[in-house]
Amino acid sequence: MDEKKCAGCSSNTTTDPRYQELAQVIEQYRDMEGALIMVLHRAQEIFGYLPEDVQKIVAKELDLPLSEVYGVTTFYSYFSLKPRGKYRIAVCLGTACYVRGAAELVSAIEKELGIKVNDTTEDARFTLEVSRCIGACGLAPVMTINDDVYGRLTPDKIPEILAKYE
Amino acid sequence: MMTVAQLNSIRDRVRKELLIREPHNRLVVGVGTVGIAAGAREIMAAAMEVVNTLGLDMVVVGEDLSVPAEQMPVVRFIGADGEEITFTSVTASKIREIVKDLADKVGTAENA
Amino acid sequence: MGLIRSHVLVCAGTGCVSSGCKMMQEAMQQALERHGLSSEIKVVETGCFGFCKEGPIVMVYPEGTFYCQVKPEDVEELVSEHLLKGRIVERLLYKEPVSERAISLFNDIGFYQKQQRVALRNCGKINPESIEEYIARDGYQALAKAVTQMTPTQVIEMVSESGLRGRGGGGFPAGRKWEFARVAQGDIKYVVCNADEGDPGAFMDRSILEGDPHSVVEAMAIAGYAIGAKQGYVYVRAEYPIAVERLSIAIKQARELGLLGKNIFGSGFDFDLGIRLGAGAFVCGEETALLTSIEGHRGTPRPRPPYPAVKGLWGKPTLINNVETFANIPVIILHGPAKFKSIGTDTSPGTKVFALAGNINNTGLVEVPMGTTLREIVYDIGGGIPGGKAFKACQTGGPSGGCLPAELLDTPVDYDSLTAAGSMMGSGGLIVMDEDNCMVDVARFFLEFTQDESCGKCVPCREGTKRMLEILERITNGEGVAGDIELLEELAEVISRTSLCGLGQTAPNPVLATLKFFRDEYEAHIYEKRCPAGVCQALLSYAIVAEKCKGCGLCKKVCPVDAISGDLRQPHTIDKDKCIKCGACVAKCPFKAISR
Repeated sequence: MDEKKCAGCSSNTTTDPRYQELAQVIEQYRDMEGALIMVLHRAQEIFGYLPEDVQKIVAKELDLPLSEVYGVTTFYSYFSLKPRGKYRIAVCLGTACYVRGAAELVSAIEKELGIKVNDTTEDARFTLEVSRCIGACGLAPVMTINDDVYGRLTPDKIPEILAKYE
Repeated sequence: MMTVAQLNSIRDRVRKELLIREPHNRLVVGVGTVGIAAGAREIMAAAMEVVNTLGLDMVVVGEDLSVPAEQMPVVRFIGADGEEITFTSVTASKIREIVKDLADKVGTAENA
Repeated sequence: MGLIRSHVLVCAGTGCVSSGCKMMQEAMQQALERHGLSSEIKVVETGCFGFCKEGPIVMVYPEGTFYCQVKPEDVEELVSEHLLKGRIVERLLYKEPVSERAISLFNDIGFYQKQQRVALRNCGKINPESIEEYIARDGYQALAKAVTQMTPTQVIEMVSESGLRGRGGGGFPAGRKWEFARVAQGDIKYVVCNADEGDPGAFMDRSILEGDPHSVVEAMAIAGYAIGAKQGYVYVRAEYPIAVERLSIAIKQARELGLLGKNIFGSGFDFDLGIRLGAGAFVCGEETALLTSIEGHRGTPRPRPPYPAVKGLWGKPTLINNVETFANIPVIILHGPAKFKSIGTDTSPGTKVFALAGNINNTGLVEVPMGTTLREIVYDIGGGIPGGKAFKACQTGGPSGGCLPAELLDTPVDYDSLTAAGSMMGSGGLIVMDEDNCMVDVARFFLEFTQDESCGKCVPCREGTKRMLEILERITNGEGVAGDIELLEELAEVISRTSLCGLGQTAPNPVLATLKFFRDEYEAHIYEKRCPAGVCQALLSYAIVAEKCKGCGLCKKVCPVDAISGDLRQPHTIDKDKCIKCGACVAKCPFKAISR
């Protein structure tokens, strides 16, 4: 098995520490009204995305129909149902970035990585996404790679930046 | 529970610290290379100590003041109203007296 | 020495963090230690100074010296020259774009001169993670005054009297909203802060939460007292991690000091706050959708009435205001409505924060009195358009707003004037476009946004925005047909009249506004198959101007489809059948010999 690609989706829920962490999170939020979205945020932090079995656990533990959980995870763009790469590139397509050429950045990254938006590279290193305004309009166009923000970008700076992420 | 009096006492205490960001009266110590060689850093320390002890509405600033080398160390008082007084050949003991003399003019940070 | 003689303020807003302020700050700390200055100079992290383009920004007090674009390698000089020897480091000062004059004082910089900071009063002045610094600048005095000296009715009268209008975009009088929530029947009520700043191109709410979170905490407690609520929620975008963190710290600190919790200032008034994270849905900025989302569901709106003030969160009376609206409240309560009304215009008192971005020299966050003209913002504060290009339009109001052309640059910014001119205030995004921006493409961009963000609950918005987008795509692809403009207008009218919530009702605005002022661009796309701004790929036709071409061959090398041919030192030509209009040759040509 290619370990890099394996997201551990069929792993044993009793021994995998991530599931224990999830159980703790659910316990913490159980009595809170309208806890679902907050629990899903934390679950996504733990797993990197929201696999089906995690959604099932959340539904069962919060005593909600799975359809409702799935309804919420698919409604909000922040939640991902697909495993993502080690590094999440998000190019801001807010207005300020758009008028300063963000679309050209997207093409440059697509070309550099050989993937399209919402895809992940073969080696599971990068996922390319586009995001809504992140509010760094003063530095437009911008992109984020995980928690790092890059501003005042031009397409020719892309290869150098991506090379920093192994 | 916090009382209004407690809130005010925090405000007054921290406001004094923040005077540095909105100074009214300034005591400028000449800290260029010559000034430092002539002992400006010690003078600055002494000035700050007295300002702090007396709780004055005055901040001590280091700037590169240009005066002839033989007049160093130099200290210049700049009041909130723009008044300027320059003191030359200052020593650590002299600065203590200078600050005390300025006390009436600047008032305390409490009433700032 | 032991006594602190200088404060070095380092901006730690999202903009400056992106520009690398963290590394610079570490270098600063190390340099101070090296020079033995760490006990007399305090480094303070602050919120946004607003001048994001010039980041990382460093401000040295007591001198008040404003340094910009400070990199880690500049720090040694800054410490040894300025902080040790008192000499200002000229090369790190801000330089006026035209005169190249170096300016050391914050208030002398054109960008700040015309600004008046009310909502942003503490941003860049205090450490947002220190409740004590907030208190030192009269923080929580307004709450103390409200709960110990005023009745709830008096608080609301004061807010009404101030004329404060909702800063989220609608401009509804805040005092009336508070009064509706106060008189609503119910033992449980809620106060909600809308920090789901979804308008692409607006970031004032984020900056307030990052730079002065306590102002929102204090204001929400005042609102709770006024309407009779014990619990509040801040609904904030998950995309704003720094804002979420600083807000959490602020709430924790306020609880520790008893400024939130039971029996605040011994008045018997209880109030607490919770944070709820958004999850990337623009529609949740609409108040009923936002409440549904806090309840943990898909954020879809519902018809009003009943308004949230009557039936809101979990069916209880709920007051919703946005971040900037709340940030004004402590000032109004503390200094009185008359002082607030002395700023701005009669119908729009106070100030408004704008996020200035796009093709403009000084990008960043600016706060101006209502009634300031667009021209003053774009030219005096924003420093005009870079590269000597011509101003084309100002976009305000985001996806719900419109674009105003150069002829309307003297429009004053207030709720009513902007609406009358054919745009709207919105939450305060102000995007400047120059001659290189295609207005049809901009309209398409906004429709793409609203179509994607439409929640799908009502038909006019779900289907209507999709049809409008299809037409706009057709036009920008060079396939527009006669009648498209009329069809767009017809759809726009139906969508705005029949959609369920504000998202749909205002979605056609960018199209209507661009049609009103830039109809000729639409016509050029449809009838002449030409994009005047040279943006729409499908309508471009690349050709080499023989007189300018020196035959260097660079374009030939860079062309990915071998569409360019020609001998060395002879004018080259482009084979239009092969050309894929990628623009690579234009970017490469040193002689600007390729036209499109």
